[in-house]
Amino acid sequence: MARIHPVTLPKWGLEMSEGQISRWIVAEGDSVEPGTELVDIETDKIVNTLDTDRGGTLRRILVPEGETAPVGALIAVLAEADASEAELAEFIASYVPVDASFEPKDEGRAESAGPEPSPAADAPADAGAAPKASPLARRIAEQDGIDLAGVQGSGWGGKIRKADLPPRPAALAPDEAARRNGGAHASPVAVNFANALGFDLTGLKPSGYRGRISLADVQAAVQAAGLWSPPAAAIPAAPGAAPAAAAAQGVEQPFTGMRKSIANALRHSKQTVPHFYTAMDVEMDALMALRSQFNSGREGARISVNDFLLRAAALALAAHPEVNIHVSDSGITRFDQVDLCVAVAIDAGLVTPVIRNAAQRPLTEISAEAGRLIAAARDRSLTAEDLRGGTFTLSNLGMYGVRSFDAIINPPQGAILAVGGPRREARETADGGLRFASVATLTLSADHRGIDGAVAAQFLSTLKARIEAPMSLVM
Amino acid sequence: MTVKTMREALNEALFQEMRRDPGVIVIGEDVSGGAGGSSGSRDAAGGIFGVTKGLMGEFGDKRVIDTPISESAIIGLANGAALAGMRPVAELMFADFVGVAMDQIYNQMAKFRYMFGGKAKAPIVVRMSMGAGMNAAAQHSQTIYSMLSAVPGLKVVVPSNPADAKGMLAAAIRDDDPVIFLEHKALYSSKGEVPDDEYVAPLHGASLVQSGKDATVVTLGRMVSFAAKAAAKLAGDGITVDLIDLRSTSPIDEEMILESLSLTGRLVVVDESNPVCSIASEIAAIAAEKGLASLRTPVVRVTAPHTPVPFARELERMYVPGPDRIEAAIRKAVKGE
Amino acid sequence: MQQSRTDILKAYRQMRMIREFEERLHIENRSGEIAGFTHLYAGQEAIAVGICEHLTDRDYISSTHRGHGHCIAKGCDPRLMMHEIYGRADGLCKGRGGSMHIADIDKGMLGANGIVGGGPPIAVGAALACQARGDGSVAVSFGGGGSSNQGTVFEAMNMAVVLKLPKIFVFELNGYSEHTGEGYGIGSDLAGRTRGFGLPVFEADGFDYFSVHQAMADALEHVRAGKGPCALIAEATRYFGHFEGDPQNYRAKDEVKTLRETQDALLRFRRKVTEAKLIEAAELDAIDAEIAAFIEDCVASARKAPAPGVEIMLSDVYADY
Repeated sequence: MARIHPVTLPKWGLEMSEGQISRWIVAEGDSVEPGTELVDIETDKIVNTLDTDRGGTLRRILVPEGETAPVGALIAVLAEADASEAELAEFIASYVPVDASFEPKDEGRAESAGPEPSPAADAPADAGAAPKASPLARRIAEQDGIDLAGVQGSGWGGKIRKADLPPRPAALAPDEAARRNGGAHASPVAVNFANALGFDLTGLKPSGYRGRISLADVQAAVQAAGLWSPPAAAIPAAPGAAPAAAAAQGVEQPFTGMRKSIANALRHSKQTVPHFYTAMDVEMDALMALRSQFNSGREGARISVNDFLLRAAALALAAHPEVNIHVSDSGITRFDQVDLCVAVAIDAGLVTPVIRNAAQRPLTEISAEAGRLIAAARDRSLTAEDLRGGTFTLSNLGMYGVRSFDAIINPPQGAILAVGGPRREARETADGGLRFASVATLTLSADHRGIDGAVAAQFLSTLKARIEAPMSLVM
Repeated sequence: MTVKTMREALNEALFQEMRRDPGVIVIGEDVSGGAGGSSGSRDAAGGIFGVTKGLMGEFGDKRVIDTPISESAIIGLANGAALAGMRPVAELMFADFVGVAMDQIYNQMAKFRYMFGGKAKAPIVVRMSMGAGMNAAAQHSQTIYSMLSAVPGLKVVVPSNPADAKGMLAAAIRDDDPVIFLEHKALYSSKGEVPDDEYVAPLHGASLVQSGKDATVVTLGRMVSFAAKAAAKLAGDGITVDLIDLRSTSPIDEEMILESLSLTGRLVVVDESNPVCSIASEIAAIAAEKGLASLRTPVVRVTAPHTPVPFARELERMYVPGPDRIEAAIRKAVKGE
Repeated sequence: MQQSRTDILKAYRQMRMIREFEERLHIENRSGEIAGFTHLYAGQEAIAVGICEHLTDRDYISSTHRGHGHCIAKGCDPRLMMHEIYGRADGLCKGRGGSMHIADIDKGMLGANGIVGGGPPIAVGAALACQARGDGSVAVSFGGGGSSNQGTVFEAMNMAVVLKLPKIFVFELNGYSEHTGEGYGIGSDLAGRTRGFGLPVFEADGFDYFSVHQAMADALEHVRAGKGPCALIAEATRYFGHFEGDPQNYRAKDEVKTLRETQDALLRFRRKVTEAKLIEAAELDAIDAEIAAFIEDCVASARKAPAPGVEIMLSDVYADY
């Protein structure tokens, strides 16, 4: 087997990256011995002569005089006399020169290593193996040790959502939390944060620096517990923006608890859900007359206008299930049952407790239930069950004299109905005369991903018919 | 727990560790003192600041070694002894002398483990006194931690109080990596509660000295007590801060800084170093890179000016960041001006 | 000092190993496969081997940028060294050190050093440990004539004298300090200056293995008797440039050729042992051939070995990562 040897452009010195062939001393076909000078090569520093450390025949010169080649390039081929042309050609074609360049190579280089790497944060659960659940539900379940297999999912395709999980433990008093958190291996910033919210750090999985429970760990946990939501991103002050002389000095009250949750949810809804608004005026006289009649003949709690409206909305939703929906990024869930949320204003903010199965319950029951929920809301004694779920929300600002408003949808619901207060308006009669009616504006805010204009209009139309023929609500 | 000076706390740590591990030796100029002197007494100094007093008496001159004035050779001695299995605690009398020994520190000690394929270890502690405020002038007052923290392979720690001094020195001696242990000369006489028994503190990880909501103040060494004074005044005006004592500049506890910043939105860094390429710069970079979403106002750095340390009292007082300057900086950050 | 036949053969083997290793690297360097700087020791073998044949794994040496010879003489694995010089993941230092930082702490080899004068202070520290151990182990630093002018070397010598450490300072005078004649940089005379620091000096002919071996025996006797440090000075030559790629314009044209023909350490060794009828020429030839084949194989395996990946770059900075 013939031996074939490469003659490559040599590396002379640290900085050399290429050289120019100055003069070939031998020619193709010449016989050489170890030590024979082959070629003069010039770099920008020196001219030097390359000799061979092997003997043989110089079979090929590949880089002619005057040309430049990089260090490591094949410039000639030395072989025993019996090497065939085919073998030579094969050798030359398959030769891979050394890469002696100085360019840095970025592929495969990770970011600079940091100080003691903290223990790896838990990898997100593999959605393929476990029951389908939202990432938040999954995280809560993991932290609380809940087996997702036993939880019924109410989301699209049976997906388990945070709302489906059993209710979280309530917050502790800060002193008690501080006592329990005293020995935790946690960043002091995180401990202070947890104590302020009355959160017990026991059993929390640490993913912070040097095995500490980090602020991020605590924030994830308290958010899951419904004790806190992240604030909106702070807007940095424009550099150099000079404050006006004697500007008003306000003291910021940071978001806490309920207001924080509301703030976050509303912001999210307004920013991400494609709202559109459809308004319809309804005449309220018949309903208000019926209500008076109803209440005067009854013992016990009075039925309010709002109770009538709730019943009307429930029936309209039953007739138009395409409005009784949840909308998510992945799809629409239509519900057979109407779980109607009634918006209640309390000191700390807004809550929307749920009247279950409202379409199947008579007016009196709806009234009683609404009454109970409103009282509980004002009492701060609503349970998680009272607040869980809901397919549609009704919000009434009529009692404040508001004429109309556009409410923000309560996600993941598909729509919300905003009710304004009745006003006296003149109406033309059939015979060209005038009559006055109590007119209220109803505005439906709908998620255009799930509900179209025509659907919204039809829903409102049905609703209007129900309200203006109120006997149907009593039956 | 007893109230002790930082000097006493350091001394206790050395006794503690030398008793525990016979491989621990102390090397430096005048660590004992009196060798070859006409009084005939050894332990005539116990170190220029008294930190190593009494060690020679208990451990003898084979473990407490007075050297000639040869910083390169001192650190080289520590390097070779460490490679051969000992745990040397070398002393450079002043951190400023690191220039004389620089090759043995940053080319040799810092790089043995890495260059030699992971088989070598250099469990060395180099103690140095550092910092301005005692009119020691330009060549005896520098902070050095900014420069040395830039060297991969070194750990750099700066205790701010006597308890940390004791606990961190013990931890540094037990650590298998080279640790630059910086003692602020103006803190040697400072007092604090120190555990009496064997005590080891975490070598790294910052500590939260006090917590508040309006700003994150990151500082180290002598500046911690100045920042605390500033914070006390600000509390009177209803401004509260998270005061973070870095304790270690290599590595830096980035996470705690960013956590606090995510809650306060404002960052003030107080560093006695000159500003360019300082630890303050590094922390500002961390905030800009990883905490931008948290920042409500620009980062404020409180540092010495870009000058050598001046001699005259009036000048040095202007050079060193004091409580007033720190207070003003925090107010500036909080008001956003 | 009398040596057994086995010892003599081993010494030859070590010298030939160094020579072959360096000569081969001289050729392979030109291919561009070997990155960075290489500094070759060919010509000085008698010194490294004459000294290290006295030492065990419990003794320490520190070396210079021209460290391959010391490394082999101290017992490091030549194949792993070759892999390291080729920058491979399975090299002696995982490809992180390269030619100038080759080390094997387990064998008492405290590293080649890229800093002139960087080694002696470290070796003095190792000597401190030897003294504490009290088992007769010693530390040896190797340095060139040029290093003898570094302040760190003066400090190290003085420190060793003051602390009376078991330390031997070896100065190999190969005629040159980088591109300048060695004598130019030494203000007085090296031996005299060294004695001035308080170290006795043992001198040897660096081309003659037996001369070096004897001088080292004397040095060890001094040091092991607890008399403090000493120095060993030997003159030799290096055949190749300060670094590979150095055209050696500071050398007369035929200097290297003449030295190879007349002074070469391996030739002189061969002449001595064959004339004294201790060893047959054929035995030496057999060793030559065996080692040539071995080095060839080391180069082949180095070429095929895997390159280090990012995980090697990002590890062993600290104990934890």
